[in-house]
Amino acid sequence: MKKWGLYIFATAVMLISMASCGSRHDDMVPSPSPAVYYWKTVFKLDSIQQQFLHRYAIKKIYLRFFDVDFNEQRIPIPMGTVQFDSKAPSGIEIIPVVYIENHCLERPHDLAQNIVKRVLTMASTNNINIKELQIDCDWNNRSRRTYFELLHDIKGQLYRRGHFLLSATIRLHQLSQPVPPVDYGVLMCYNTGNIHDYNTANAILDAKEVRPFINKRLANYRLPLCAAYPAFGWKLLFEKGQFRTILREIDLKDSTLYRRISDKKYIVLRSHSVAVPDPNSFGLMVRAGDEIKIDEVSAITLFEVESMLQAKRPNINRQVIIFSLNSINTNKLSAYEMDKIYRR
Amino acid sequence: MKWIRFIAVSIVMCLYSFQAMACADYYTPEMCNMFSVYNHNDLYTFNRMYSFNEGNKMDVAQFNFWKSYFNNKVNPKTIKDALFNNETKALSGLIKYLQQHKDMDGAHYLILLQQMRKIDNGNAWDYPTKEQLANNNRIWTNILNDASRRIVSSKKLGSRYWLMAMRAAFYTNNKEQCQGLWDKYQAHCPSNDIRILAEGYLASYWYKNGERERAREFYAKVGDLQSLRWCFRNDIGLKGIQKLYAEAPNSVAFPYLIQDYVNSIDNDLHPAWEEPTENDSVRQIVTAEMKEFRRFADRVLNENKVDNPALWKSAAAYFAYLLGENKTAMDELKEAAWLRGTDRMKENIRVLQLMVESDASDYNNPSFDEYVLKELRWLMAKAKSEPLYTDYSYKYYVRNHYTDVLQRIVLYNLTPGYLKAGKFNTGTVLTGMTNEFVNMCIRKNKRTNKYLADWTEGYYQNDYNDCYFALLDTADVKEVVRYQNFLSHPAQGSALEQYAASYCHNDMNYYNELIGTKYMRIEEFEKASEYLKRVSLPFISAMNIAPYLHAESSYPMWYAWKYKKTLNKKKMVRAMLTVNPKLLFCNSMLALRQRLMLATDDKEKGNLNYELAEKYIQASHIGYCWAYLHYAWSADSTFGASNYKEQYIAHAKECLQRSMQQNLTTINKIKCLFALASLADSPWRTWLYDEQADKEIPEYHKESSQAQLFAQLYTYRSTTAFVNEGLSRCDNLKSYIEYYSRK
Repeated sequence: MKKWGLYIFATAVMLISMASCGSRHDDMVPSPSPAVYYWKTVFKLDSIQQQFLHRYAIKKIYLRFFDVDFNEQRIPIPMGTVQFDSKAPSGIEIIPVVYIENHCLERPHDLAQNIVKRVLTMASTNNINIKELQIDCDWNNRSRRTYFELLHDIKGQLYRRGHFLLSATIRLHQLSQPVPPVDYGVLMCYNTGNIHDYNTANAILDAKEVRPFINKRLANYRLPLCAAYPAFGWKLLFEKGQFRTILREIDLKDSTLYRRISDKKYIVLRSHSVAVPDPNSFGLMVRAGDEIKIDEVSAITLFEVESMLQAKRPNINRQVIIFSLNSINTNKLSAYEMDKIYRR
Repeated sequence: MKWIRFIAVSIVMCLYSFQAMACADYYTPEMCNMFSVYNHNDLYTFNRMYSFNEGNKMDVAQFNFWKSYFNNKVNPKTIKDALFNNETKALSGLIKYLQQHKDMDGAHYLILLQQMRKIDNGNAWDYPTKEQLANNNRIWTNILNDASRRIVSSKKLGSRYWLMAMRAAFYTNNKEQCQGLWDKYQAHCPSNDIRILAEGYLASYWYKNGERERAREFYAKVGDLQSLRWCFRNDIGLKGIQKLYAEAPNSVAFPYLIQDYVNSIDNDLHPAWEEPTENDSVRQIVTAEMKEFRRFADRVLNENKVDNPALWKSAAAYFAYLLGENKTAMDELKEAAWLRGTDRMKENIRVLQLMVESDASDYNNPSFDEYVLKELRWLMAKAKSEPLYTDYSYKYYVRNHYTDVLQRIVLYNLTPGYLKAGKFNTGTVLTGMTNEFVNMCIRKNKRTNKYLADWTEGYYQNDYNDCYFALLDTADVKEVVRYQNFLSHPAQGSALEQYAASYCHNDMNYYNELIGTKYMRIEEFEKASEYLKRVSLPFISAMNIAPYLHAESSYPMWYAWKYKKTLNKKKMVRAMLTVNPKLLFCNSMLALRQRLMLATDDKEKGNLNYELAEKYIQASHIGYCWAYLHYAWSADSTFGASNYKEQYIAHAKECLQRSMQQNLTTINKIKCLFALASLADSPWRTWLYDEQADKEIPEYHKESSQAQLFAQLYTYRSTTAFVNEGLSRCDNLKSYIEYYSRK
């Protein structure tokens, strides 16, 4: 009998330990579902965006509510608050995102309370039922301690007001840092290069830039993670190799103004002014001889990065977030490619 | 000689990481637009800030109204705080004052204003709840009704009640009532400013309703450039101008469109094409377009439908200038000055006249100097009075239109013109004046006399990285000496020179140091020493190159591999200099030359020549003391055009050759051969990367100068002197010996 008892006990221990080693449920984000970011100051969904939500069965919209930046007196205040011109689509969870400028962490007093109170009021006023808050910040080694304390305080504030999850974006360079005190993280797989450098191959996403970060640290990162991938492009203006700005409204098809000089580069043929978000300027003068560099992310790059992450962290793509719904109209990914990215 | 390469690369790497690079100013003429017919002062009319702005005409007009309303009996600060700076206490104070003086209408207006303020309590973190939104709506409705009732009955504040009612209608989304209020009362409103503010609430409706022309006119009138641009987004350029003229020949948008167009054409004529054919092709297109615009402007002026013919005429005249027709340009600008136009348009004509005159006049004519002086005085006064803005696309430069104009006219016309006419002092002092005026008077930069106290990592002195420095650094030293004399006694100069000198940087440390270094470069050490003696230690310690001036100079450069630790310690030191190392260098060169001249013994001469070679190399661009002759390190090292870099090395080699001939001892021969091998132009071995093998493969060059010198050293490899000099420890020489021993 004793022998039998010992045998049963050993088998039970083995089964339990096997189960805990095998599926690694601890690295998966809660309720993983297809998701998108929405990053504009007006929340207004057009028909293409609504179709997109339907077509890919999007269940979560990570919606930027406001940024936190210094005012002229260097006091952190909310800026660029989203204006709701569309109702939140039914059946889709809205997750408010607050972007905090790293320098605001120099003056973190009352920040947690202000953020939580404002987010909850915004949600209530606009009839949005929220269950989670996400914080986005490009923190570094110097600001880490304050940032983590801020997250801790936000969590406390949220806890006092009900049951809310707290998530945070994780930039690739932040993987080498300790894990922030949140429920899960979103690994940002975009803005990986330096847009100021004319020689950067692709500042939005370059698999070569991502590879050094896909190592043991990612595999062992002690926080549930999902991934956010880019579906946007930008046009960067360079004068004599020096970065000037991101151009918004330009029509590169106009052959009297621009000439294509390579796959992703155009040269300005005639000087002309283009619109800029500067109230004091009629326009920014783009000069003959300036170069415009287009960064877009191909499906191949996205698949490559997705696979790289997957190889090190099998659950990371259980929830994929596309950045962003507001640029979906202009992105060139096909429905098939988008399906593949969402791993449907 | 791997170590030489290593040291050179290390120095370059360190320097790149430290901000001591002499990059030329990024300023180019095409950055400075010449044509400006609208004033940035007017731009804040509608998008006013939350605090009183002295530069905002609307704010000033409103403030003056209230000042006189209170019969100048209330502190102006209280009025500003209450009505412009959103201070609750001050506003309550004004209400109380009016109530005490039985002005119930005024008090009522301010009470309504107080209610409006409460809606937006100024706390940026607040976001209205549903209840607050409903309450705000009630307050707005109440204000709308209350203010509407008082538009006619109020004796002094009727138009303000009208504006308040329109605002309330706008915020309650009551479009029809907003329009109704406008239609009913706008003709009776005595204040143009109030009417403009009221109209603003309608402009957004016009645009949405497709009345774009009306909205566009409004945005142009109030200087809301972003909205204006949006209206014109597809009609920028000559075609847009022609189209608008056909629709509305007197559109207020023309100043914006014509200014934008003229400046874009001006920019097109300075493109940075690598291919000259590209420049030609753009020039052809632009030339045709300028001619077309001139024809069109003629038509416009003949039709006599426009209120501001000066604008059209001056644009056409500037195109004549850009087409190379200076005489026509001058005549047309004179004509334009007499035509109707705003003050700003007339000022623009004056600027264009200076531009054309400075490009076409006789620089030896004294009356031209008088004209330039008069115009520069005016231009600099304008630069001071015009509001500044920060150009985020160019190094965060603070600038305005007149600083741009000043820089373009002086740096690209006046200075080159005077230099060409042989007037070095005039040309240079004008650049110095412009530089100093823009950097100190406009950008409010400051120099410190506590040089070292302000020296921290990243501290940056523009004095060695601007067009003024470039001019002085490339000029002949004798010119700079004469220029320094002029700056010390400006009364000797012309009125124009005296005026410019009064703005110019006049710290003689700067000029003495510059002249001393220029003499060092041409090896006139006595004169160099004379000037360097006058440079104070705090000044030289604060130069951005100063940390590199601490470099160790006691070891021959070719033996640097032996003393690497010691040398590296002093490669860059952030500390006050206790002596002027440049002066010491000059004095030791003078002493060595003196001893060489007096020496009679060949061996002694040989030793002195060897020492001289050591010194030359130390101060050359490959030496540890490279900073003696440089102000920064970049691809071209400095602005200086002389070939002193090559000369220092060439002279070192000559001294070594002479030393070998004069001192025939084995040890001297070995030392000189090794030194010469270190300085050889072509190495005995190079490396090529083999992609297939994924490694570097050596290539040997038997005929190279270094191989020849090593071959001579090879014969001495067993001598005691060779061993005592430690040459058997030199990796490069060791490799050579091993390689050739195998052969």
